[in-house]
Amino acid sequence: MRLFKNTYFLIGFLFLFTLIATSFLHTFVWDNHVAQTQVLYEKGRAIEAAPLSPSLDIPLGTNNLGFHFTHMISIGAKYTIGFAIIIATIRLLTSLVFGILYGAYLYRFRRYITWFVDVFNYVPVTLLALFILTPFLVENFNGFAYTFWERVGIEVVILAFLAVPTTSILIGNELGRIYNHEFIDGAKVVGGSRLHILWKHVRPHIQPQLWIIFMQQLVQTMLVLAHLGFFKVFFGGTNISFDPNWPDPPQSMSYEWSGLIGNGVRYITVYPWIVLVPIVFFALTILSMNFMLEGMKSVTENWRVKFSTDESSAPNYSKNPSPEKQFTPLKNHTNQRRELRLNHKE
Amino acid sequence: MSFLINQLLRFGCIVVGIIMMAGLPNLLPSDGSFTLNWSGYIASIKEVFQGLLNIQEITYSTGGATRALLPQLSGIVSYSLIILIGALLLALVTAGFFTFVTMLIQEKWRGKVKVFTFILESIPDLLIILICQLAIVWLYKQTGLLFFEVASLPGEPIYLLPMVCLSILPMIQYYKVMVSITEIELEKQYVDLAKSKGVYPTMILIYHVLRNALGSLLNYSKTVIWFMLSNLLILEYIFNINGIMSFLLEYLEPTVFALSLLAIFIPIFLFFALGQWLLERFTNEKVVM
Repeated sequence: MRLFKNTYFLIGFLFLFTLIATSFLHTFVWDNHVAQTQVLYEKGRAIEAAPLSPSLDIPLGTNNLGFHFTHMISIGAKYTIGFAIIIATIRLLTSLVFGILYGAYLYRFRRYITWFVDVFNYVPVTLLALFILTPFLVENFNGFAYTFWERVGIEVVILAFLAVPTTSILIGNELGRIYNHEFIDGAKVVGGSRLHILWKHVRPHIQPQLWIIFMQQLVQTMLVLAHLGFFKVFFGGTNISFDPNWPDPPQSMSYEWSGLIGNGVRYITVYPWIVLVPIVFFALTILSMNFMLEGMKSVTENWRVKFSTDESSAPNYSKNPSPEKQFTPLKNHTNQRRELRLNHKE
Repeated sequence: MSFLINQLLRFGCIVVGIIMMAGLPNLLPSDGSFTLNWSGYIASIKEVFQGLLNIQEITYSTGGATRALLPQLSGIVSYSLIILIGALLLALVTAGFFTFVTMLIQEKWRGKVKVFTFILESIPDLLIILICQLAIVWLYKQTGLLFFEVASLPGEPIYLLPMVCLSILPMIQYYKVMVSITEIELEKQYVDLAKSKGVYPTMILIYHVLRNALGSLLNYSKTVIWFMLSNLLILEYIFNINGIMSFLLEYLEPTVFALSLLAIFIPIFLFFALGQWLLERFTNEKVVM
């Protein structure tokens, strides 16, 4: 709950919460209604045709078919953010399993394992995702081989697993470092089993880090989704029309944001808002996620300081505690934050 | 000697990794089934491996014609590498300059600058590249001056604008890291000693802090380059640049994928190995990569 007192975290959280809440309201109260204005009239005369630029009446403008971006963005928010959260969760949980395996059992071989995973530091995730996902998600002449939800499932699993090796190494290195502390030796000597040590002694130290890693993965997932949308590989499949007479542009299946980007890329220099609106929403979401991340970091970083200066929350301590008492852990979460970088290297 | 062996082993690991990656699309299920296609995977890895052994014979087909990959690829790769390295150098120099300026201004402004860079850093690369392009077009419409070429045409490669666009985000990242390294470094005792001896703050920054920061910078460069590679992908697409990434996008097939990735990976790897060796040799600092 301390998190919600942090300004950064609160700003980010409120923005995301409003976005998702509006999105669900849109579905359940307004039944996914998307307003369409194809021609704008003024005093009975047509003055502008779709795509309409952003104005007071239509805050975010319309796309080339006259659909309002305000509504499309609002409907799409829950798919985009929701699936990003699902992907990031799978990434975190799977990496946690492998990370424990690596950090607790195979930490001796960390050098060689790191070398093998090193290849992921030279291949951009977007490229790899495009390479693997294009056969699934882009419709070919015979149509899709999989149903919509099968495609979504495959995409979620692949996007999740592309980040598992590096994230496992990151978590494993953190774990390995905690296992090297002296108090772990103490617990071993007293006779704690591996599971007991993991749960009682290591978990309190790794937990705040895991939240931070989760937020980082969430941001990365959003970026990959935006990139994929840019290359017209939309979430859940790209619908391509092979009709030679009416070649429709590639279409997305829902109003999720990456599809909106992909549909608008062609108009970048003519009607820039068509592609900029969804990208700006991606940017705002990523920014607010980063705000939450920054809030989390500063809260875990100041944990010790906050506890020791806050007199009321630590009543057991006299004004001048003895030197030994000063260095006893105050609560479970007294670890100092270590810098987590994206390079997952030590 | 052990340095050389270690580097060779690392190199081998990454090459094997790239070849294994190239087979992935064939491993995944296709045509409505859900079983992993291991025999297809092994076959495609074999194919990639054989292709790499006879590099001269690799071909790709474009518009019905079949062309040899190798002579074509070297020009494409060097174009991309020039942009990449140019952007990296530009980012390093500007970030260094800004760090230098930041360290000389007052403490209370530094906090504000940090918040500003934090917000800038959170902007996705897509948005920055698009805005750069739009800004140039807008300036052209307003003033009639074309500051840079906005899109590349066949036979007329463009360099400056892609480099500038590509260098913005790495510049911010480098800047952030440099500021934090310098702040940690400035608290150390040798700085106090130098100050008490009357060395100018600018001299301390240039001679002592910079030298000590090089190791961390080299280490951090790996993340930055990885990040730049995915930026390059978008950049080449938007500016219609005929570089390695757009080539890859067009011919997404295992052998081409593996070979192109190797072509861009080997120079980067050599750069890092050289940097690491130089650092260990001359500053006696152990860089863990």
